[in-house]
Amino acid sequence: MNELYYKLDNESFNQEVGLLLLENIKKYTAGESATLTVERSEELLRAILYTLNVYFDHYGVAMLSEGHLLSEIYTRSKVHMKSYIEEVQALYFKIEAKRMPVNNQLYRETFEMALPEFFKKYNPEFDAQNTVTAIDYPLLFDPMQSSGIVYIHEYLEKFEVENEFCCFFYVLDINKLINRFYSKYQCTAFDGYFNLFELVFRNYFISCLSGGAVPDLLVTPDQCVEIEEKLLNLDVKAYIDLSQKLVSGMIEVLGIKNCRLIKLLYDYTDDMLPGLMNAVENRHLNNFIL
Amino acid sequence: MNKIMKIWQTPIENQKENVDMLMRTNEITQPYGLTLTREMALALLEDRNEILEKYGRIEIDCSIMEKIIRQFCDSPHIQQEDYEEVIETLVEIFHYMKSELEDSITDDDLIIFLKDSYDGICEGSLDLLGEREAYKFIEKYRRGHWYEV
Repeated sequence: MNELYYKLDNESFNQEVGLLLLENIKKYTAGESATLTVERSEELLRAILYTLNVYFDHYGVAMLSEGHLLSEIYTRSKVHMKSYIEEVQALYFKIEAKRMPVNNQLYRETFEMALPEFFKKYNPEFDAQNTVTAIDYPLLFDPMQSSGIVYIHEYLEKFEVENEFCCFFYVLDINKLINRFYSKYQCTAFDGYFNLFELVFRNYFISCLSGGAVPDLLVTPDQCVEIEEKLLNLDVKAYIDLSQKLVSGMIEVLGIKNCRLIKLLYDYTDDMLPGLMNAVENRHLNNFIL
Repeated sequence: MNKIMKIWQTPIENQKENVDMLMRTNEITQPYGLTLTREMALALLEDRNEILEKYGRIEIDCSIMEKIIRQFCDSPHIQQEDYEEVIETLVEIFHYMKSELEDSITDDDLIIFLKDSYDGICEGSLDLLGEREAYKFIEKYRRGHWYEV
């Protein structure tokens, strides 16, 4: 995203961006001021470059080398930005309609307050690069390198995939799991901080390992001991083979077709394995799950 | 170097245009015995750039200085001998106050305040204007009582 910012060392590009900035400053001050701080003008510059970048990310940078005026590209970028925001907002509404109802304040506030606030406050013209709201509910792999509408888009896309997985389970079971989390970590629905996918996936994974015909989310202490015994002497390769097999079994049993979800399951399993091996080795599998 | 300053140093803000803009103010200041030469205009623009750097600000043109000249040219406290110095100091006070007020006041309102205070309570003292009156105004403005000034 910062690629264009560094292109500012090019003098002719500088001049064209400078003219766009001049117009934006005039709009920003509504003609009531001919001066502003360097910081604010830098923010306005970043907003212009951000808008151009969003356009280039979508359509490629060919226009830059085809001799189009930057002002012409910027006009198109602003039109694109408008429809992009609408597209992201539509995604938000779609997610809201099927989001897992979970008793956790951080989770609810993120979706019921922070995101609507974003769409209300977001100013693509003067502050396109700023996320303008606090998105507190953590994703498994947060798109932290992004900002503004692109961050919200990536956040929602990733959340949608995580939520799709959670929706394979009963709300009642998920809420039981969350209540276990609250009592285990001595917190409440008001201050509990977790990623739902992570809680659900870990428990489901271990539950699948116990080999029950219809695995559920809740694993008993006896089952934990039994799994520890089973895994104790496995080497890394055996762990990897076992987990890959388990995940492919999950995909089949749950009928998962979404490629992004399948990728997430494998990626997260890779991330999770060292922790799982450590928990088995120290006979703390019950701490690994809920 | 700061990217924004780099952009600003490309010929977006045309120096010749700015000098011409300031020179045109002579048409209305000459009846009051005030005249800018090209050298004075250039010096004022150079000083302004230093002021902007000092307060971490940019200007999109030199309309602020032009407005200050137009507003202040009928002041009984400005003579040709100190004309350039007075304008330079007023521009500095303007940017100081604009920064302190976090750009919440329009250019025109601020210039009107400066003129009223300079000709009125300060009786032509730039020291009083830049310190006591500017401070009082900033305090009242921040508290939302600027209309009392």
